[in-house]
Amino acid sequence: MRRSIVTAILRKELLDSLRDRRTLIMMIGLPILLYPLLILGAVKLMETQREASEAHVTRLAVWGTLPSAMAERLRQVDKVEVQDWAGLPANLRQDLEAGRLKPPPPTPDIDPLATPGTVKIPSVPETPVTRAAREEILARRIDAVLIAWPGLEKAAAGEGLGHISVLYDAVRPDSRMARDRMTKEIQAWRKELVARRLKQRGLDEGFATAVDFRPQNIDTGQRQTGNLLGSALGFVLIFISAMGGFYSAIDLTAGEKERGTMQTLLCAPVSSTEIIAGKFMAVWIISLIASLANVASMGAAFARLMAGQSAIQMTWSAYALSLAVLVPVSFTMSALFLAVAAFAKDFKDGQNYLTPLLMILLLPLYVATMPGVELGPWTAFAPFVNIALLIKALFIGEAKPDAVFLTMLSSAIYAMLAILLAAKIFQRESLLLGGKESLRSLFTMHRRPGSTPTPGLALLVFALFLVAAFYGSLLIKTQGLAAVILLVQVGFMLVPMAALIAVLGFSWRETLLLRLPSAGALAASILIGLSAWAAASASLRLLPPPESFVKAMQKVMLIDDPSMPLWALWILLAVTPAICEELFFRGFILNALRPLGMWPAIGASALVFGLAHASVYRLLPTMILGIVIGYVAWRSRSILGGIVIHGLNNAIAIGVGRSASTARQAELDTAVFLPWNISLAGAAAVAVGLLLLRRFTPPPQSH
Amino acid sequence: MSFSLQAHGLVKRFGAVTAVEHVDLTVNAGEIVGLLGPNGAGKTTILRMLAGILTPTEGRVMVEGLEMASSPLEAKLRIGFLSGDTQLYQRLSPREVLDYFGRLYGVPDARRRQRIDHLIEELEMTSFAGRPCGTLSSGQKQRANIARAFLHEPDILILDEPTNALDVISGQFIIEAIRREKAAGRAVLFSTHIMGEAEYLCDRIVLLHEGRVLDEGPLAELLEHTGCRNLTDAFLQRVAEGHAPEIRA
Repeated sequence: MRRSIVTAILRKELLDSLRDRRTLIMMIGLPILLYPLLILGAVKLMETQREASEAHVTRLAVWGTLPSAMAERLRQVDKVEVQDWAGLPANLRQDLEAGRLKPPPPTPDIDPLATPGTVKIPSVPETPVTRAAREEILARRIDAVLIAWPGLEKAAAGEGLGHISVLYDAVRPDSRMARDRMTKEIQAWRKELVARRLKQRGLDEGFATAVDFRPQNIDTGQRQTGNLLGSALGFVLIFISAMGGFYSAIDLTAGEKERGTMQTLLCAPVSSTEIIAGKFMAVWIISLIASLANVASMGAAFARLMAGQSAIQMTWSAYALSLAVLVPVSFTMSALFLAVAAFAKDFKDGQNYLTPLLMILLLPLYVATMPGVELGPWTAFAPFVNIALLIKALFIGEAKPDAVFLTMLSSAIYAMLAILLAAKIFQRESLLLGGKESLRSLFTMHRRPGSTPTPGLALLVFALFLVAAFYGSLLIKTQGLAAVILLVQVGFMLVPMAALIAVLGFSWRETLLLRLPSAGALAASILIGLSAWAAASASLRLLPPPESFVKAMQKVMLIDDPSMPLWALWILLAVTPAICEELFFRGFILNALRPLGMWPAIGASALVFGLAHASVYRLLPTMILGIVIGYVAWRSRSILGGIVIHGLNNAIAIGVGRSASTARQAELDTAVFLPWNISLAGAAAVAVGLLLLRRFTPPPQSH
Repeated sequence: MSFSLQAHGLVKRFGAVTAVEHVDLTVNAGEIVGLLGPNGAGKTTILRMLAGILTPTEGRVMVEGLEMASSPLEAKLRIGFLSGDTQLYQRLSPREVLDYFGRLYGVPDARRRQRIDHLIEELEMTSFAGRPCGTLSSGQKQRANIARAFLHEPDILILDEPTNALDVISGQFIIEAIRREKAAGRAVLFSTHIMGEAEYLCDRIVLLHEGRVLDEGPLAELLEHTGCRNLTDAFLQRVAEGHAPEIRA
């Protein structure tokens, strides 16, 4: 791929796109207008509505007889027009005056005089009086009805309990304003009555209050705003940055076909890889500019909105980080858009293809707005959802390095898959020249009897495994860890892999290295398996896991569960992963990567092996183990050595973990790390094992 | 004799449809060869395979000794391709389009500027060279397209119905430009369904029908083979015969 050609294509595509009004509007115009209009407009609307409500004169119907002090107080309230008995049918008035109507029973634990809006006031039971009040309020002849129930006057004069109801319509702002105004007056009147009674009895003010209870929020306001912003804006930012690349992706592919310029480009001495690289970079840059315009406009709109409210502030670093995490999202989206838009024959067709794709990609993002769904080891692998969750975590300042790392790594893998797909599609000349092909044709896999999987297929299978593990483990979370482990190992690794090998007709023997190693290689594997754990644990010193992580790991390994016998633990956590993971990572993945050459293939398979363990603290030790086992598998051309090493390694780790746990229960202190000398001895034993392996196996062969 | 452009046994199938069936073709330097046939004869598919835009299902294309399949970029550098339906970027000006393609063909900066200025003047494009291509007339667009195809001074020109949908004056302008290129020693392969154009321009004519070569040779020879007085009659007679006669080397 020649850089000068890619640059020339990129420059031209950017120039062409930036002269397109549609792209400019979506990229810069929309965000600049959208946020101020949406945010400031909504605020302005609320303010206007509030002002209108405040200016409105409340028409209050008073049904019943109020004590004179309260009646007088109501008449003096500004903007309240009292209408005695208005709208009450004569028979009900007679019943009320005769004292035949009773107040509704009090609602336990709810103080209707608390600050309006802080308690949810239940609807009143249906009676003739409430029906009459509803009729009047809904007909907008009055805003609210105040009912002074029989006995109120007597209770207020003496020391009894009087009853007042205020009936209002929570939907209508004027009615809510009437409720607020009445609540304020009744609260003040009640206070006066209580104070008078206390004084008459010579009691202290605290007698009636007893406890002054004030719940106080410790949040500075930043997290509160962050939570609100982060939940919603993860979705908004991803959506808008995707939309920025939407039109240019169609324009640069289907649009070019429609205008007949694709042929002009294809007759030039440029390769399809150079064309896709230049076009992809242009779409990506446009998408990034859209992201930048969005984040800047959103930040500015919020800064304007929050001006003067020092308690509610968002740091600019949160915005900057949000922009940074949008980079892999826009990368993946741009590549996917280009890939799919290439199937369209014209602009309209392109829109028809990309709109459902956008829906499919973005709908799961609603998961991120749900309370309680946070970024963790598994959610970090859910495509796009992980970025939305990361933005949420960034805005409340709770992004953990472990999860950020996994999110960015998994996003990079998805981005790579997307660009591989786009590159594959751009090699189809019939598509580029305006012909139509179904999307299905791209994914049609041909049986290749006797061959081994390709690197692209390995990457795809691994990505699908990550996504399946995320959703699957969420589904059976309640079934216990043993079920989750079995589902992930057998259900998501072993069975789909075996099905794929069978369906595509790959060679079982070559794909999974199903052959016996030499006796020497097996002996070397046993030596490595016995010592690898001690050697790999030294890497924990480089990035020591926090205590919470160690505890979580012990829980995962069921070490603290005495009901599980050690042999059962070994079967679940040593034998099962040794077989399933080895066949998957050192069989399927490593052999698919064989065309890359020995060390790149071993390194890449070790990296995905480490990533599958879903923790930054376990990444390094598992990667080291992955490299060692990968080398053993490559040299011995057998899966068995890896199964032995993996099984022994896990069995020893579990055995040591269980005995350390027993030691702790007996209040014996145990060191967090293995002593250096044991780690070094382990490393030496591994080295001897590898030398033995070299001695007993033929030189490695590349594919 | 060394040929500038050669095709051996070209076959192109689109699914079950065979668009081109075992076509052999040669074009020498300083020669204009016309590919003549009705719509759907396979002219465009053959020219696209020769220009490296389509990959032949069978057969090979040699460009000045280079095989298109194994050295596509080097081979394409030696070809200028133009078709009647080739479009230009609507939002770019002819000058910007020429600069872009100059870069793609690896023409050095100074030479590129010089060539662009020269072609703009030679093809009388000065008045519209800075305007977006979307605002140009068909004739103006086709001049810009010719400039794009000639810019990197290719030894071989492949022109697919270049006068398609143009008025007489614009068409004639293009015909003259092609004659100048021939005079400069370039090999020109030219397709058309307008018999008069072929008669006027071509040194040799290849008659195509349903993806197969019916006959080929200089105009006089074709008329002699068929005993007809003009190319149209000769072509119709060959089609009526329904099979390709043995073609002489």
